[in-house]
Amino acid sequence: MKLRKGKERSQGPLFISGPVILIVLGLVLYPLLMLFLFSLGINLHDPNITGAYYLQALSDIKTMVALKNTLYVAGGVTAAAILLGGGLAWLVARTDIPYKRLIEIIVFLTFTIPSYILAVAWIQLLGRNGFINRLLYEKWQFIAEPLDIYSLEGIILVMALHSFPLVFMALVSALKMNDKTLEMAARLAGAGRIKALFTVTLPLMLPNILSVGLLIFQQTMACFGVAAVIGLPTSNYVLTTRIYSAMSRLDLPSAASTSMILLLCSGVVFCLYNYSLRSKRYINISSQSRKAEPVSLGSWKMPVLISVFLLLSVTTIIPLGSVVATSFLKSWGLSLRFENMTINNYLTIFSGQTIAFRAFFNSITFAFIAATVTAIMGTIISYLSTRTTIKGRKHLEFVATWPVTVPGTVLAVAAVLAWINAPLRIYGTPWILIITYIVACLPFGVRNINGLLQGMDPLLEDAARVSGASWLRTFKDITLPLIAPGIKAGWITAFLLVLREIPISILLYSAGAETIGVLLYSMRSDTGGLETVSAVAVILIVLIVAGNVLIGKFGKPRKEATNDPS
Amino acid sequence: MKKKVISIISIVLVCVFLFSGCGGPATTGVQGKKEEVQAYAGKEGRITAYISGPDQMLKDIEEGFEETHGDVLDVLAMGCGPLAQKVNAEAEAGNVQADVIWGAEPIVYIELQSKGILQQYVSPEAAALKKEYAVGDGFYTLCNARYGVIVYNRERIADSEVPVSWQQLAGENWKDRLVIADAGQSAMALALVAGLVQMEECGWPYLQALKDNGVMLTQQNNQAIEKVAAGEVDAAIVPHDGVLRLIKKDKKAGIDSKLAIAWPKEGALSVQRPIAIIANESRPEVNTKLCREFVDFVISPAGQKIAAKYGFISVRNDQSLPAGVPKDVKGVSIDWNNAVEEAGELRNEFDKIMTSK
Amino acid sequence: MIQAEIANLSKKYGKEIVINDLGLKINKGEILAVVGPSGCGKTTLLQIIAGLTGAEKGSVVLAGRTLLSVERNISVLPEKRKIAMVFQNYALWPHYNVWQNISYALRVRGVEKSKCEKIVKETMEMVRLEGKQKRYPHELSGGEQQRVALARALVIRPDLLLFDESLSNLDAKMKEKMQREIKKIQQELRLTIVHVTHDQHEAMGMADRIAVMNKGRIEQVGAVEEVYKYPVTQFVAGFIGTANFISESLDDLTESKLWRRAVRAAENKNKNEFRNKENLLSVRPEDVIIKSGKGEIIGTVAKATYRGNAIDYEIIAGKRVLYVQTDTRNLYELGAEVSIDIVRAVTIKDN
Repeated sequence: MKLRKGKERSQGPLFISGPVILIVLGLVLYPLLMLFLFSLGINLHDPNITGAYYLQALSDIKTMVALKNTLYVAGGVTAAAILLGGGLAWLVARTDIPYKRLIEIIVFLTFTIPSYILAVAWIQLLGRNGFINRLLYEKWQFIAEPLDIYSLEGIILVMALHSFPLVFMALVSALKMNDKTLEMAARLAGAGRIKALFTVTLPLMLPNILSVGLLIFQQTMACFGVAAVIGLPTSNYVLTTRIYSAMSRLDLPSAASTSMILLLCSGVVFCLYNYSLRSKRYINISSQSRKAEPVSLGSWKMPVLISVFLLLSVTTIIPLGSVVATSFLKSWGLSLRFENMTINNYLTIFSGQTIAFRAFFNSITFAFIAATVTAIMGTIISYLSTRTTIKGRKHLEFVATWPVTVPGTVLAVAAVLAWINAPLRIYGTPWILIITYIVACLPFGVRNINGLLQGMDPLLEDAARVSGASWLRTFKDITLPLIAPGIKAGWITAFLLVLREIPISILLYSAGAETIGVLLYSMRSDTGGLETVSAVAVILIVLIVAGNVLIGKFGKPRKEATNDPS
Repeated sequence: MKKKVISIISIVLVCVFLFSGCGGPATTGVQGKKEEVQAYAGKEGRITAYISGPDQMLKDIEEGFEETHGDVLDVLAMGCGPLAQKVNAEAEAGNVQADVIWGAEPIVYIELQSKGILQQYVSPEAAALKKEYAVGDGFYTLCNARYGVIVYNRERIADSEVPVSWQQLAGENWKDRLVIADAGQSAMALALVAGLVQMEECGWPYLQALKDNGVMLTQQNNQAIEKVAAGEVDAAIVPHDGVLRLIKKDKKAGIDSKLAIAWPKEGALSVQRPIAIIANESRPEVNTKLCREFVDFVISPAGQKIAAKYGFISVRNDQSLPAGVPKDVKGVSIDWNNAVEEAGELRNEFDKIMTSK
Repeated sequence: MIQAEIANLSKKYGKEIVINDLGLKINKGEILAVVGPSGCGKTTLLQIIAGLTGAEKGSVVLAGRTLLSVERNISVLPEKRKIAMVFQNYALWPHYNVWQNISYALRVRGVEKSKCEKIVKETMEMVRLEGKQKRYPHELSGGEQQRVALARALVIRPDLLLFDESLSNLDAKMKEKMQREIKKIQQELRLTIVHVTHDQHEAMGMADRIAVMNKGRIEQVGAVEEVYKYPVTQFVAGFIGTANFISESLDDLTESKLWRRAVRAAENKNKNEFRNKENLLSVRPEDVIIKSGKGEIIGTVAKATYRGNAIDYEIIAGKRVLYVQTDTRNLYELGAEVSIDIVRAVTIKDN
């Protein structure tokens, strides 16, 4: 089932590659290049090229410690998220576990909680006098020392819980498309259920796992919010907190050069990813796809189901419940008693004094545009990268997925540098927000679709060409329906990311173009208090769920024809 | 693999050369910057202000100013950190979009002044400023003050235990009960640290003592307040105005706030919020006039009253203190020029102490 | 009449030469089997013919139309070639049902709906898939999937039908049945088929002619019997059927005797070829006669495999093993001494 090495394909889509390459170079590479120039000290005030900022950053023991912490956290989060998300995805896609839809919805909900809120919820649970610590340590004396959330492991915990839905979404769609006959063949050949999983399913899923793992790794390296909330209290610095520190002392070149270190790490990881896939190209979407013969859990069904829901209650239900509860509190820190409850927080948000209505409207509009552009570009880039022999196609994919390693704040500054001066002046208009959102989301679009395309048998497309379909017709009739789950996952991911995005929003918004991120930030930094912020988050979550239900309802007939074996 | 690496490197190099080529004219542009007419981003008869502060205060200010001037002001609200970062990034790109900036700390303004992007303006209202606030040569004007104080959780600290001095927090009974914002992450936190270090009674040994007492760090001051409210820690060193606003909000919701302020006897650390006009040669005359009038308005009694409603201390000698601030409050001024000179040292030392085991 | 002609075809992947100056003529209405070991370039050859990949050199002409000519810079798109292909894993589209899969080529060509339905129905009857039009590929057995793939290729009545290892996933019985059916349909529709396979039995069972491919070249083309009886190279002789290769040996007396016996029995079209003393000879197992008792050349039975209609022996003669096939009337026990005679041999080219 291995792809023929170096198989050269008949190429139709070359005509679209030009514009896409230009767009990627313009939107992604150009701002990053401006940042790179700043890291070399090339700017208006001191236009001499210097490596001083790099020397300074690299020779600073603080940077090295932060780099070490960053890699440790990123590795830990990636491993944990893949275990958690992948395990759940397998259970949902391949076994006869009941309540699949409910599990999917709960996992999806996890992703809608803004990371800052999730971190605060976890501090309530695992902080010094958090609920779990009081239970395990003080009451039951189950553990010798109180658990300390303010540690690198704490960052890993919260971030893994925040990113595992990404793994779940990517792998469920891939597992559903996976060639199940192979797994069955292995079973028939005498391999046990578990052995079949490890010897057939897992290796087959490797491109998808690596693809989403790479994404999580890169994204974790760039994450600031959780690292700041959990890491700072006990002075555990990662690179992003160092970058933010440089930003706050208005030392842009240092921030830029430290960001470049992040980008370099990201590049190395990307090369490793490509290298590891080089010799292992498997096909898991083929004619035999979607043979719906779920693995029977047998007598394990109930125990597995119970542990899944226990797990989900820890990852999602409890934090989510705490967000909802907080949103009804009269004041942050009050105990959860009825007399402390109010709906005033919601009323305040829409009291007419705030920008709330406009912010929600703007964010949804921007998210819609950004997600759609992301999905289209992600499809084209993935297609070019996996289905053509155009020179530099892997570089294109790399550049397009690079921004995932850049912290939002830095991305925003790069956008300022790139788009403020004529003739490229779009700074000060809503377009700069949309463009930067697209740049930030593109990696998620590319990664989601790339894994599926890589696992799709190119013979399916060849068969259509030979049957007389033009390249475009083939793409429309065969390729698109088969990678639709990936495109959908990419779109939803991008949409959610934009809705809850904060750092890019607050640096790039202009009067009239306020977003939910701006609202969240201003609520947080002045009178609102955490209870109002939570209320905004709850509204956001409700909107997303409603939207998802609507999409599910209207998108159903189509979905029936393209996937979903159950 | 090797080929790929080489091609990536070569792409980067080509780009660098291309852009350093482009950098050439820009270089000459710097020396000739005074002659070069910078494009003006705004419209004639309309100015843009970047302001940090409570949303509602900004609305009141905008309404107050436009009452006499008509619809001429666009306010972009943002936090102190983003305000400084945004202006700085725009300045690095050589094109600051704002006409007026108001908020953040003097340290930021001294930094921006050194970059040459602030325009000198001495407001006629400056005559009414208290002596300690009439500093600088008009590149920026101090227009409100915030006091660095101790906020504590009333449910966790008995009245008898309420700290009356900074020194008390270094005592053994305060172990693992304190939080402050990280001076490396927030300019306001850096200002507070500078104030504590400059204070005779405190200095670096004080911060070391806090560290030994297991002080926790947060990224921003409001997060420190959140931790106190949640009962995770018992007290924090933060600016007073945010706390006052939260207490006011609780009062409005009909509950007894958990938060209270302790005013240290050595004096509260006075951190001012400056206002400044951005230098721009090509700004139309009528806009420059509007900028100046806006600065005048913010320092005027009317503007000061609005800010006082949100807990900010007036810089004028003819205004009363906001509700919730004791009449006999003692403010300690911070030597900003020294703080800026020592900023690097301050951050390093802070970092060293806090990351020590 | 020649239906398709491939000339001077060359193709490289990187530095690796996959197709090496290959020429091939395909007659109208015949089944030509292209056989060769995996990696010999036969699938690439099919892909070049179908237009799924390009070539560095050479041309492909089908029914008088030039589909590919690198020299003249002609390359007709795959969808315009009127070639159909049945893929190894069938490549059925998992999101289409049987009817949609089969009718796709017609729908793409904008064939009128009623006509399209008629053709699909006819074709489905032809491959005996009646009543399965609503099924999805994953609901079909391997044999049924094979039929859908075949039907999908047949609906356009292609100028040339390509089979890429299409039968290799079926079990032996099923394979034979399919071969018969394909042959029948081919004759009915007068199709020209190129069938690529690594399985010589499959090739011999269905094809009119066989082309043996090795290292990007066609080593020999001819009728099935001709290729078997008169292989021109050692590779062909070894790949199609089993062969004993005998060359003159100076240090092994038995081998030398065998060689001389083979030379005498040599039966070649071109008699000049075996004048050369260095020539290598190929002897089919059934052309070696063994008898019990003494003779000029003696061997020992080392292994016997009962095949039902024949018995395969491995005889040790001198330093070598000789493969022998006899009818079942004479049985020899292991270790028995036998005399060996060669009744037919051909000289072949050394690879």
